[in-house]
Amino acid sequence: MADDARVPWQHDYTSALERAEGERKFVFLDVFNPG
Amino acid sequence: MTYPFAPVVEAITEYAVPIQIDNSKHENNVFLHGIHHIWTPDVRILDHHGYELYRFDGFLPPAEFAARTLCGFAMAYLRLKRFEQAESLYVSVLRRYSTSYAAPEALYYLGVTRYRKDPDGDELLAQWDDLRSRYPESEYRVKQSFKELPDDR
Repeated sequence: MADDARVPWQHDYTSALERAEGERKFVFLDVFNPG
Repeated sequence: MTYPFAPVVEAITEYAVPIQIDNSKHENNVFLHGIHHIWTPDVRILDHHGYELYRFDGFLPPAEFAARTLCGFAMAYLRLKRFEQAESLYVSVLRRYSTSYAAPEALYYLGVTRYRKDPDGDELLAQWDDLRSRYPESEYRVKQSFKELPDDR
């Protein structure tokens, strides 16, 4: 799926895990193809 | 597109840190090999260690995607034995998306959630009774069919 401004996507996996731990949230990973 | 649908955005941002990985970029190949990626969209719900708690792939229209995503967060909570949060999300799927493809899964695991929360209660069979009447053609009806009497099958 294409990127969308309304979802605050991160693009660094390690940073997302660290942020999830700090915010006590899950990680929602979306692997997409832009084509 | 699915993501502009407000309930999808709300569900993702309320329960998770969202991350997107572009599978056309060479620099992502090692990571994608490591998670055995094969098809897009490839959605995973992970804990903060990167352990996978739920996954689904393939396009879904917005309401189906929202229902599936909520089921995913519910299962993530269930696997962590956070039963109250799991129960709340499964109930939400059944109230908001009762005709979705994810709804039978929500009802099946609502029973499981309540059973794991209170093994002495009768909620497992109560929810599975409801499943048989509401979603008789679903795979999840089959999953509970060992509890049906022979004449019910």
